[in-house]
Amino acid sequence: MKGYIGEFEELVLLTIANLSKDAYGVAILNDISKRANRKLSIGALHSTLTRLEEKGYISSYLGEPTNERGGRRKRYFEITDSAKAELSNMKALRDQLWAGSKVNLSVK
Amino acid sequence: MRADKHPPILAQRLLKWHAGKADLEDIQGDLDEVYGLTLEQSGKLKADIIYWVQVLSLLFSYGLKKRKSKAAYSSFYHKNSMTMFKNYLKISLRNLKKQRAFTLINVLGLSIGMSIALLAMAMYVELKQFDNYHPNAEDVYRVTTTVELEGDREKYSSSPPALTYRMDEVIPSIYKSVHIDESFTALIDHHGNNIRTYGYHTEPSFFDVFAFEMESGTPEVLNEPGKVIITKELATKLFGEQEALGKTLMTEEWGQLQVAGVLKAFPKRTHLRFDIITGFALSEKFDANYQTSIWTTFTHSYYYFAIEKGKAEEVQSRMNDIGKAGLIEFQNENREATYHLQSLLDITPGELLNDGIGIQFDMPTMLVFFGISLLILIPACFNYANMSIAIALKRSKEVGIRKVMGSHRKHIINQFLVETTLICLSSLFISAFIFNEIKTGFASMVAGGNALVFDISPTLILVFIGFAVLTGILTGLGPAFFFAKISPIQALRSDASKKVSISGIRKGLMVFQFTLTLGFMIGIGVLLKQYHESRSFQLPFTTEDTFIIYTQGMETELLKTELITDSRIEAVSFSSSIPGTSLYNQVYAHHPENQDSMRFKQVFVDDQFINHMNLELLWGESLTTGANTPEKVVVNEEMIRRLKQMNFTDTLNILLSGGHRAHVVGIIENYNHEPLNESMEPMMLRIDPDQLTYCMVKLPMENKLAASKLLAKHWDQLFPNVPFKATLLETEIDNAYHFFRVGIQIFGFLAILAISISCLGLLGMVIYATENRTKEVAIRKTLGATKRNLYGSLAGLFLKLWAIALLIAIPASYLFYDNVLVSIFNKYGDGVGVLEIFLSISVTLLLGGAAIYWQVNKITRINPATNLRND
Repeated sequence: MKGYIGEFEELVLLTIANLSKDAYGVAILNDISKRANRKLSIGALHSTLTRLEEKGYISSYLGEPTNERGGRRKRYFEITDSAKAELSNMKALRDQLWAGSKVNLSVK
Repeated sequence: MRADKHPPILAQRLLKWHAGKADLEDIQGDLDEVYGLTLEQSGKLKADIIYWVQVLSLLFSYGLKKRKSKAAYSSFYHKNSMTMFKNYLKISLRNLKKQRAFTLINVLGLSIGMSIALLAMAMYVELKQFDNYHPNAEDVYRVTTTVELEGDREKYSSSPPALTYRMDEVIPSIYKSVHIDESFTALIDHHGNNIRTYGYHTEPSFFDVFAFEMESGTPEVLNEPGKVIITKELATKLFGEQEALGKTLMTEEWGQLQVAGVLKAFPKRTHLRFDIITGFALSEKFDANYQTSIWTTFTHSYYYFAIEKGKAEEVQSRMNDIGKAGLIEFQNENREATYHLQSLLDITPGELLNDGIGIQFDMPTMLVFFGISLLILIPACFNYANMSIAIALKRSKEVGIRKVMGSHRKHIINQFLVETTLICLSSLFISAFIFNEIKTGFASMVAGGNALVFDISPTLILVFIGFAVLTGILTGLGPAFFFAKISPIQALRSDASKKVSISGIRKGLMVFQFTLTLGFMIGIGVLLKQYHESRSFQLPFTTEDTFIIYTQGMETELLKTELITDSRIEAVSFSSSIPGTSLYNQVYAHHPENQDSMRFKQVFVDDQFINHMNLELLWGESLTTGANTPEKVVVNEEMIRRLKQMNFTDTLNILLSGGHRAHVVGIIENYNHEPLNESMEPMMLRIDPDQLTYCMVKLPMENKLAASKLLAKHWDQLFPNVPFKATLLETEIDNAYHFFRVGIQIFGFLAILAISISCLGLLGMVIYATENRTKEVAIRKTLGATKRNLYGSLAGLFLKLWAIALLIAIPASYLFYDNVLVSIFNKYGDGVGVLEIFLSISVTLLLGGAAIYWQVNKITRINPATNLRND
């Protein structure tokens, strides 16, 4: 296993994948807080993004300057192939566990 | 986001300050976006609070930390520093090549500036190695003596024999030692030529303590009277290739001496100086009494010894104990003595001590020398800094582009340091060459300089290179920081040139240089004038047509009777010192009641001296021959004045050291018996036929050679076996001013160095100033400006700076030279005059004017069309 992916990291990765071409700081932030109903700060998000970048699961590039941000560029993130592999590994593992689970996991 | 709703400025600033160089663009964008959203949904207060929270969260965020560390240690700076260095080197070489005039002027200036510093360092390195070749040199010490007389403290490198002989016996830690008495000299008769040799009375252990080796003979011959050991140099001088061992030397003082040993040639880097050594047995002075009871008259007596490691303190305290035995002897003379150990390795360059053995190189003089070399070097460094900032116009674009390409401050600084170091290293070649040329001349001017060989050793080369690199770095720091500060936008804008003019600092530096040049120039003028003045000083005694015959210990009465028979000879007199030359013979007059004593100088003369020399007798009678008790003497006015000052009740009856009494029968007017650099000292003229060494003969003849031959004829009739030796009084006096000529030479040389450096500096600045204004000149010319207008506008600035320099230099140098320099060389002159100052200034202005004229002329002659074509 190349690097351990934590729960929050997995969440961020999947959100980036979800947003596809539109995955920049605020968009990720809003998406997570909407879906997961979590209070999240920009600082915390960037910490995680930086760690993920270090581990090689995401890459980033600066977009074109936009008017609404005072001419400041957005940094877009996209997931790398190793992240895709890792995510599907995790999903396979989970599916396996779900399928083999002796206890009924469905919520009644 | 509405225009009037800003995120809290303080928070923004905090974030920016915290982030430093880290890239924040996207994060700030995110923050603003979030702020905008909350502002629309929940109003300003909530938005502000959230903004603050976000910023605070970012302060602790790993993401920002990472960005910061990335920005601080950019990888390109760390890695491949060798590649970067190569790049610096390449660009430096290109730049130096591009600015040929600038490079040339700087290399020349720095090499001149560094040459004296190289000399000083080479001398220091050499002195540091003095005496290090002796066995266990680090364990060898000598005893120095500090004598206090009424608060006056004098340190001697000699020590009382009564102390040192006791130390031999009592202190067990001393495992080898040698006593040396420096007073041994011998005038050797060598085929009719007299060779004056200097050396030591010493003992065989001399060869244990010091590393001198015998080529032939054994050290034990030092125990036998009448035997000497000579150096290889003296042996070659006396006997050439012949075997010197066993030969006999005819000496004036000691009769026949037998050469019982020859030393092998030894390195000159030792503080000991001798041609010839002999034992203590030769002179009766060194009897048992000498070893046990000589305390206070210890001059010329030295003691060197080796002690076991770590015992220095013990030896010191035991020596102090032994010294107490002599305390009473010193107290009788109202003096007090303390003794110290001085390591052999600390002697050169060491503290300034009286009664040095041989010739000493002391540290204070060395420091002065270093100071002077810095005074020469610093202007050269200033020049460099000055000029390289001045040509900033050409370089600022380069710096701007480098910065835009991502160059760091450090890179710019490194670039300029490499450049300056490169210039200094190339200057080193030239200045090493200059050093090589001047070192022998220097060694011949310094007292004892023949001990300095200035061998080029690996240490010396390393020191030189290190010095050049250090000079380079220190010189380059100024320009480097200047360029590192340039903002790229300003540098790249086409009107950047307006920013870089001759700024205040540079004007100040130029004024400093002009002042220094003027100071040196005035100094040369003053010295030459003083030399002229003291040489044409009207001496009170007769100098013309006077011959000096060296009596060489012959019977003076005989010589006198022979000479006065000749009717052409007008006057004959004798003395122990040639008037007009230095006088070394000093004695003390003791106060009859208290312990006071006064030092004065004495000359032994015959009864004709006062008359012959036309000395004015103010009171009393002249000297007469014949034994008188108390002895009849004549003194000068100064003597009486000083005696009165010291409350001597009876100034006409003087008690000399040794209980001898002198009765003053006459007082003469003060006259300059010594060269004019000596102040008027109290002096006594005494009669003693045995002390007369010079015969003054007045013989007015046009042909000096014939006159000299005539005297020689008389001499040969009396003493056919002794060669006749004579000079003119004027020649002797001229020789006495040798120190003055050496002073002028040294000062003149330094001045030439300083002046050429500042001329180069001026030239550089003029070139820069005119080149920067080629376009202006061209436009002025097309608009009809005359040549004179152009000269005025181009040279105006320099003339203004010169005027300031003149205002500083004239009073400063007047004060300095008038108070310090002149009194060193001439105590009787009129001080600094207007004429020499005026002449010196004119020469300086002429030199500078030539540089300005040359450059200004060059640019005004150019066709304006050539300069304006490209615009």
